[in-house]
Amino acid sequence: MKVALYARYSSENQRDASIEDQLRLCRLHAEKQGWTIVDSYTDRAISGASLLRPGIQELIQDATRGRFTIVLAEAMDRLSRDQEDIAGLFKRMTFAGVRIITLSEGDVTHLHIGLKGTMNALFLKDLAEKVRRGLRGRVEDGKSSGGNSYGYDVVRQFDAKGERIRGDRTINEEEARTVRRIFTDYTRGKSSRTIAMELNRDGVPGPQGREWGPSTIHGNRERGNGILNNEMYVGRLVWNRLRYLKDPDTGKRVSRLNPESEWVIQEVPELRIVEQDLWDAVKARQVETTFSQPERGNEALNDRRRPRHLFAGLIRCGCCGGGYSMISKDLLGCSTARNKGTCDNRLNIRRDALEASVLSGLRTHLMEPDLFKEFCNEFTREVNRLRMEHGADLVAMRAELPRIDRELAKLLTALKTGGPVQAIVDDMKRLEARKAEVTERLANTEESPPLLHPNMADIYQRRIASLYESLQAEETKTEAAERLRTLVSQITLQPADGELAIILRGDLAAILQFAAHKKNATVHPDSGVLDAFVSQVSLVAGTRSGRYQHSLEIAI
Amino acid sequence: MARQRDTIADKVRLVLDAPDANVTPLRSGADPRLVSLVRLLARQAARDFVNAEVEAARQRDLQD
Repeated sequence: MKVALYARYSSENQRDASIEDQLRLCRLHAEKQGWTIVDSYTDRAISGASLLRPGIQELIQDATRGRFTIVLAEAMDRLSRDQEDIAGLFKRMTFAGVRIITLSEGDVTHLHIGLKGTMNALFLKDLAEKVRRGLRGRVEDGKSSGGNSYGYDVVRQFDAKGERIRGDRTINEEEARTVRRIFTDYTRGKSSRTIAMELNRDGVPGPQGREWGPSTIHGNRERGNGILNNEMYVGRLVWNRLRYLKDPDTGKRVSRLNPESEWVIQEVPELRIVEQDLWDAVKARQVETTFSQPERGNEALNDRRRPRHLFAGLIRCGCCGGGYSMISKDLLGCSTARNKGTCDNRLNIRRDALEASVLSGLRTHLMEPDLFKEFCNEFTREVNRLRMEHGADLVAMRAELPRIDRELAKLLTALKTGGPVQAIVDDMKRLEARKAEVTERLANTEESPPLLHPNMADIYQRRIASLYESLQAEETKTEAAERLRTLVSQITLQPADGELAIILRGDLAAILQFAAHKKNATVHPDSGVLDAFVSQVSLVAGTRSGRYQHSLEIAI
Repeated sequence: MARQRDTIADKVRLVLDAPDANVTPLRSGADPRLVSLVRLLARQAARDFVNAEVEAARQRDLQD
């Protein structure tokens, strides 16, 4: 029997050695049973609350490939503490014909999944409650609940027994001066962006030694984050303003604002950095400069968002490594240069030009015969489906006519027997109108439209030639973007000698590279297609530091 | 504080940067993501095609 071992430890209370201990016990058990260990999978310092762990993911993949028939772990909670996850894991393993065996529970069955899964989930909830109780007590004693704000130092001290005393903070005078400078500058009318740029210019290190950005300064007033909103600067420790949840789809921690009644506020006058007048002046200016927003009410947050563009989040500045983001409706620019002033790259690019440039290489490649065949098959399938749907509409309309007649006859009888005249007449009018509409549509629609004979090669060529426009179609935009984005890992924009190099990385680059090698092309066959953006296109090949590189010069 | 002027790139160069390992073995047509993209384009083309058929039939009826 082939067996795979799994071990995990999560909190800092457990040691790295605990993984070795778990594996040692499992190995002993496997040897006793005469099983062959094919591999061991581990996750170090990762919580069991989600399955987004590299070790367990690799284990699932290998199980589906049939590398082993048994998964052996110390206990079920090592595999997962989440009920949904443990049930899902059990289901997948059962499907792959793999048994889960643990030293504590033995052969894991449906019964274990139900009962132990519930117990493990309750344990997690209980643990979270205990931690929160502890933190609340600490805050009520005027101590920090964790982390440290800019402007303060953590006090390292020990009690008589040598135990560490945690939660005390003291003012860091140098950082406190910067905090006061930010507050003063803001009241003098400077924007958070200007303040950030000036601090970076003067070489003042920001929180965690990083550069200053506008959002570090203005933060979010409602959530109390950002330098201008930290109430600790006026000697108030606020805890439980936010609660944190784990997004079940992404595993990411997201915050939600708690009602004010649940906040825990403790006065800590010894930690005050900013005078009350200065704080009040900042708050007054924040109110003045806040845009009057329409009532949020039923308006979904997503409605207010600018739609994501094709390569959003994948574009980097070649000078500073920061992101390139939308700086206006049509332009992309280096965020660091604009927000922090620490990058000199002020060369922007039109979003549509960037997208079209990347897609220009792809278009040629899509002319491969295999892909054309796929296109023909899918096209035929979809046309057939749509035609059947169209035919079904006709059938339904034909069936509707006698039904309308029957309804009308019933209404007439009701009218004769003294039913409510107005209501019956209204219904009859409605039915007559529908009958006329259906009759007209049936009369104007042929049994099935005469079959046009598509020139598939022509259709495909036209679709590929207008790839950029095709991907902009509203109904398929998101789907198309998702597919394309999986092919691109990063796009770096590097200014050089007055032009901007678009360095494409990821599988799309590899595919295009391969195609270029195969075709040994010297002239890009797509020239002329991107008339809107491109006036001249050529393909040249070269190498750089061990990586193959092709460059496509495009004048826009 | 004087800010630098922004300019819009009027000339761009597309550079393909892929590790050696990825270059040779990729058989382009077989990449499932490209296949899925092509299928999406096919469905889009099919919808336009059927709409054109229906519209053509409607126009013919109007003329009759």
